[in-house]
Amino acid sequence: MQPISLENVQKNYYLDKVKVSALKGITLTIDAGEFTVIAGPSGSGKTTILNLIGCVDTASEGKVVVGGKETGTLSERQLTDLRLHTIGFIFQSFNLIPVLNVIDNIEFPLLLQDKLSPKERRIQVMKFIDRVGLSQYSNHRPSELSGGQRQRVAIARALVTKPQIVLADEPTANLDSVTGQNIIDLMKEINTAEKTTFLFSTHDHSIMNQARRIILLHDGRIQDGRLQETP
Amino acid sequence: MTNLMVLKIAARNVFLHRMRTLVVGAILTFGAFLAVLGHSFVDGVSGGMENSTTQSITGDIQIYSENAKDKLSVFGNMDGSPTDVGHVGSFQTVEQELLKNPEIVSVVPMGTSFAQVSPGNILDHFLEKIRKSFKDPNHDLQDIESQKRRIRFLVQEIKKNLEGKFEEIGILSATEAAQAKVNLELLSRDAFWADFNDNAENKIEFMANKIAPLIFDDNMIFFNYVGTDPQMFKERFPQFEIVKGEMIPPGTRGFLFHDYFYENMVKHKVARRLDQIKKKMKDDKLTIAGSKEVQDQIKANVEQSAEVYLQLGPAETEKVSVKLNELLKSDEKDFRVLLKNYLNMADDNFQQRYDFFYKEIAPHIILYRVQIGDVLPLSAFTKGGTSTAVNIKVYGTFRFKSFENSPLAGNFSLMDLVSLRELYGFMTDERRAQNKEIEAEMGLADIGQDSIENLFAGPSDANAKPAVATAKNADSVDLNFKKRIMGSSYTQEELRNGVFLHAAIFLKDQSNMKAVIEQINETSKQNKLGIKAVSWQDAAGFIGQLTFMMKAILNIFIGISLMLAGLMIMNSLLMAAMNRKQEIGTMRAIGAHASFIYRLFFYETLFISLLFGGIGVVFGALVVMLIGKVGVPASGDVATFFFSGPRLYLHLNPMLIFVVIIVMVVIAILATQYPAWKAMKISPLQAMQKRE
Repeated sequence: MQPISLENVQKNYYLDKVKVSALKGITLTIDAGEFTVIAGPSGSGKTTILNLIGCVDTASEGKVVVGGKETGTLSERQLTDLRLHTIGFIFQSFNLIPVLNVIDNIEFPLLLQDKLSPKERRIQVMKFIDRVGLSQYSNHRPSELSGGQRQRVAIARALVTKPQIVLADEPTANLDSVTGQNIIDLMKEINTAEKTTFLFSTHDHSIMNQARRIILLHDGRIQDGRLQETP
Repeated sequence: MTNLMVLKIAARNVFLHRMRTLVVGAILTFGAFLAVLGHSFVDGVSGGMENSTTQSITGDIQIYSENAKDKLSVFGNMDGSPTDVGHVGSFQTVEQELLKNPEIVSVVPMGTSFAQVSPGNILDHFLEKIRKSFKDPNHDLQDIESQKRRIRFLVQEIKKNLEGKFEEIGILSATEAAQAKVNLELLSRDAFWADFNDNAENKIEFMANKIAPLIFDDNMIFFNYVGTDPQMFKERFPQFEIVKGEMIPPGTRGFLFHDYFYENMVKHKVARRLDQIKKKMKDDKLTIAGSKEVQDQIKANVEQSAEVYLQLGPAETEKVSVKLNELLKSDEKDFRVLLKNYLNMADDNFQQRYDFFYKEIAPHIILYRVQIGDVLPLSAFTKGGTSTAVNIKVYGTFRFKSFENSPLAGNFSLMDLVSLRELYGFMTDERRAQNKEIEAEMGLADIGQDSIENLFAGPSDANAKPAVATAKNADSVDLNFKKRIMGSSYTQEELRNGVFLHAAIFLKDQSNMKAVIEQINETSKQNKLGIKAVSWQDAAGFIGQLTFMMKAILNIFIGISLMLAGLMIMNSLLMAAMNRKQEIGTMRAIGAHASFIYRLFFYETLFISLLFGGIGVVFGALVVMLIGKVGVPASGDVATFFFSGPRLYLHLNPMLIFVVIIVMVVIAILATQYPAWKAMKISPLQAMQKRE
C-alpha cells in the first residue's frame, strides 16, 4: 500500500483578497519505506506539501490520501487521530515542550495514544533515548541541550509511536553541517531498520544528494512534472 | 494517564511564569483571605446581633395582629418612632392554640413601646427628702437642720450660677426673670430660714414650684420598655438575671431597668464617664494621653463639675475639700477650682482619683437619678396619641448574661403587662375598680367604656353627650390616679386574659422556623386568632436587615476582588495562549485533541486558584482563630452596637472554608473558558512556523 498519494492537489491562500496559489496541481505517490526529499527554493511549496500530508492543513482542490485515508473527508478529530497514530513530526525548530524533560517529551505522544502500560511506555521511551544517544541526558530540559541534541529528542519523539510516516520540515536548517549530517545519518539508519517512510524538505544540496528520491518543486509545481531518481 | 501529564505541564508552567503567577496569586490570596475573614466577621456580628435580639426580646418568632397598620419592628422605625402594630384580643386563647403545635415550647406575651420619666432635679430630690422627714413623726431635728443647710447651700449655688445670666436664659420672660431674682434674694435672707420648721410645707412647696425649675438640666429619661409577664419572661430568657435590687414579685406591678441603661443613662454623669474611661483603659488599652475620645470625656467631666459640687452640702464640701487638697497636695480654697483640678485626670493618677471618687465623693452625691425602690411616674402616649401616666415601683435592674454590655440587648427595660396595657390606653381591672369607686364618690354612672381613650374621644352622635359630660370630671379624676401607686397586685387571670401587642415564640429547634411560621399563620386562619407570625429577623426590623446589608456589601467587595482576580487570570492565560502558540500547535500536530489543550489551561488555573486561594483561606483562618481568642475591641458606640458587646470574638465556620474553595474552583472554571477556547482554536499549523 502506498502510504501517501496526492492527486491533482491545489492549495490556494488569500492575501488581502488576492488569491495566491501555493500548490498548482500536484500529483504524487510515495511508497512505504521511501526516504524522500522535497527540494526547491523558498516559496516553492515544500512546507505546504508537508502540511497537507501531515494533516495539519487541507487541500483547496484535489485528493490527499494518507495512511489509506482521504484527509479531505475527515473531521478535525479524525485528522488529529490520524496524526497521532500514523505520522511522526520533526520540526525545523525542534518544537520540544520546554517545561518537560527529555523522557517526558518523548513519552508525550505515547501518553496521548494511551495504548501502552506505564511500564511498556517507559521501556519504549528508554529504547528510543538510547537509539538517539541521549541516555545520559534523559532528565535534562530542552533548554539544557544543544541544537543537535534537541533534534535527536524530536526524532525520538517522532518515532516512539512507530508511525508509518515521518515528516521532517527542514530538520537540519538550524544545525551546523556536522550535526545536520549526524541527524540525516540517524534518520537513514532508522529508515533502513524500521522501514518507516521518511519525507523531508530541505534546500541543502549535500543533504538532498543523500536521499533515495528527490522531488523538486518550483513555483507550486513539480518541476517538469517528473521525479528525479538519485542513485 | 494524560491527566498526570497535563498536571505536570500545568504545574511547571505555573512555576516557569513566576511573576505572573505571583501577581494573580496575590489577588487570589487577598480575595480568599477577605472572604474567610470578612464572612467570619459578619457572621460574628450577625451571631452577636441574633443572640442579643432573640435572647433578649424577640425569641425565635414573633406574632402580632394580622390587622396591624405597620409591620412589627420591636426596635421601632429607623427614625426611632414606635411602630403601630395594633393589639391582639386575648393572650390565653392564642397561647392555648399555639401550644398545640409540638414545635412551640412557649409563648411570651409582650408589648414594646417607649416612655419617659422625669425623676426631678437635685433640688427636687432634697425637697422630697426633707418633706418626708417632716412627715415622719419621729423625725430627727439635727438631721432636718443638716438637710436645711444643704438646701440653702444649693439655693446659693443656683443664685451664684444664675448671677448676671438671667437675661441670657431665653426661656424666662423679663417678668419671670425679675421674679426669679426676687425669689432667690428672698431665700438668701436668714429670715426665710428662721421660721422654716413652723411653715415647712409651704416653704418646701414654694421652693419646689419657684426655685427647682431654675435648674435647667436634661433630667428627663427616655427609654424603651417591654411589658410582659415578668416571671414568664425570666423563665424563657434563661440569660436574664437580676443585677441590682430584686425581681418584681409574682402578681405585682413593677419595673426593672436594664442594667446597661441604668449604668449609662441613669447614673450620675461624672461617675458614668469615670466608669467608661476606666473600662476603655482596661479593656481597650487606651490612654488618656493617646486617645482623643478619652480626653474629651475628661474635659466633659471638668466642665460639668457642677454636677458634683451642687449635690454636696456645706459639711460634705468642707470634708471633701480637705481630702482633695491632701490628694492633690495643694492648698486650694475655692472648692470649684479644687474639684476641677481633681477631675482633670491623667494616666498616672487616674486609678487613684477613680478610687477616691467612689470612696470620698460618691457616698455624698446622688449616684443614680432613679433609686431602686423609687416609685416612678412613667408617662407615655397611648395608642390614640394622648398622654397617660402610671406610677410604678422600680424593683431593680437586670441584664442578660454573656451580653450584658450589648446596647442592643440593653435597649429594653421591663415592666408588667398590666401596667403596659394601662400606659397603652386600655382599661385594667384595677383602674376599672378605682373608676367605679371614684364615680360612686362623685355620683357618676358607669359610662361602660372599655378604654380610657374613649373618654376623650369626643361626641360622635347625640347619645355621646353623657360621655362628654363625664370627660371633664375624668380629667380631674386622672390626677388622682397619678398619685396612686400602681404597685399593687394583679391576678394571673387578668394578665392572661387581656390584650397583648405582640408575643415571642420559642421553638424546640430554631432551624424549623420557616415551617412553624407557616403553621402558625395557618392555625390563625383556621381558628380566627387574628395573628400573623414573622421571623425574629423581620421582627427586629431594620436591625434584622443590618446584617443582611453588611453581608451584601461584603460580598460586593469580595466579588469585586475575585472578579478582578478572575480577569487577571483570564488576561494572563490569554497572553500565555498567545505566547505558547507554537507549543500548543506542536501538541496539536503531534496528536493532542482540543480537549487536552482545554484541560491544560484549566488545570493551570485550578492549580493557581487552589494554591493561592488555599494560602488565603489558611491565612484568613489563622487570623479568625487569633481574633477568636483575643477579640476585636469595639471602639465607640457604633462598634459596640454592631459587636453586640465590647468585643467581637470570631468563630471559624468549616463550611465557609469549603464554600470559599468551591468559589475558587468556580473562578478557575470561569476564567479558563475564554483563553482555553482561544487556545483550542490554535491550529497545528502554528507548529510549522519557522523560528530562525
